[in-house]
Amino acid sequence: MGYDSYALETRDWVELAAAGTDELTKEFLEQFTRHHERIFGYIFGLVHNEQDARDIFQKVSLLLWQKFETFDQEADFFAWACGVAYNEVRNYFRTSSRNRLCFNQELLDTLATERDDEDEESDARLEVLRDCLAQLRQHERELLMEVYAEGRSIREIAERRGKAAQTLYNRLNLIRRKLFIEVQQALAQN
Amino acid sequence: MRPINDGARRNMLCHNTRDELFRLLDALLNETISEEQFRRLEAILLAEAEARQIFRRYLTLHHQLRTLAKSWAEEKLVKLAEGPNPEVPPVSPSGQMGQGILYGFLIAIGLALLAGALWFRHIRAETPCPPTTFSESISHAPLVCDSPGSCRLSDKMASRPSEAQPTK
Repeated sequence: MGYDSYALETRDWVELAAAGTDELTKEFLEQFTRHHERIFGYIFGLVHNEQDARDIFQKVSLLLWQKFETFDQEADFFAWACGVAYNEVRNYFRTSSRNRLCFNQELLDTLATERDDEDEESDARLEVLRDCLAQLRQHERELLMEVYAEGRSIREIAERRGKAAQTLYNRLNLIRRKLFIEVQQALAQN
Repeated sequence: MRPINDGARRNMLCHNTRDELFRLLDALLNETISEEQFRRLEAILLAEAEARQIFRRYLTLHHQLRTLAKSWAEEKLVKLAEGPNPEVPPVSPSGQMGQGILYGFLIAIGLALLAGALWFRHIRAETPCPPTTFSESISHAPLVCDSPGSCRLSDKMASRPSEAQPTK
């Protein structure tokens, strides 16, 4: 049996919000809205593939809503959500028929449990990254926009620009590493 | 479940491993990673807590880049919908400094050339000074050659220094 992908899009949440006027629904939506980026990041860190992460995230979102009645309101929502997500990741790797590269169980367990300060500083990272992006040169920003906003592959961009794909891969890697270092330095200073 | 390497937060990664780790992470994010590279990445992550920290942060950066880029694209669309507003690319401070240095250098060269030209013109107006000795006047005198082997000083310069007229 393969892994089922649940297409739970934004409009579904809007409908859920409209339908749910009780306190439980409100509480769930508040918690989920606050943590959904981090939950996706957690899943992505385990499966390291965006499409797979999106599929799992959709299912986890639904499961969290279905199980929210059992959630202790005094507990940490994100930690609880990560537990649900981790089980789904394991299930995904077990049932997926696609031939994909996945980490061994030992590493998966380690990555899943080593959630530390980074989760807490996720918002700070986003803000610093926003500032760093504003400092990039025009051509660097254009490449990032094509890759990250428009979702174009490097091969596609290279073909359109008449350049070697490897050149653009190198350029993209340099930009990413530069941003990584700048974010680290900025956070260290703060 | 416990972290594999609790010696964790110190900077333990050597330079080469760090470089290799970033190369492997880029291949992973670009979806160009081979099975062999993937297993090497797995081995590094299993062995080093710092590598796992970098791994998580780099993947977070990748995910946040997508979030920000999409939000920018949406803002741009909204601006386009609101009306024509040509975007002026911001110039980074380092770029501004570089341009300033370049322009300053060009202006300095221009001024130097202008000063040189004025000085040369001034010198031309003042010189040549009248020779003070005959031998000096000889050294400056042009020769007039009427036929091969028969050259003489020009009429002007054949006169004695005392007769020479200072150039005006």
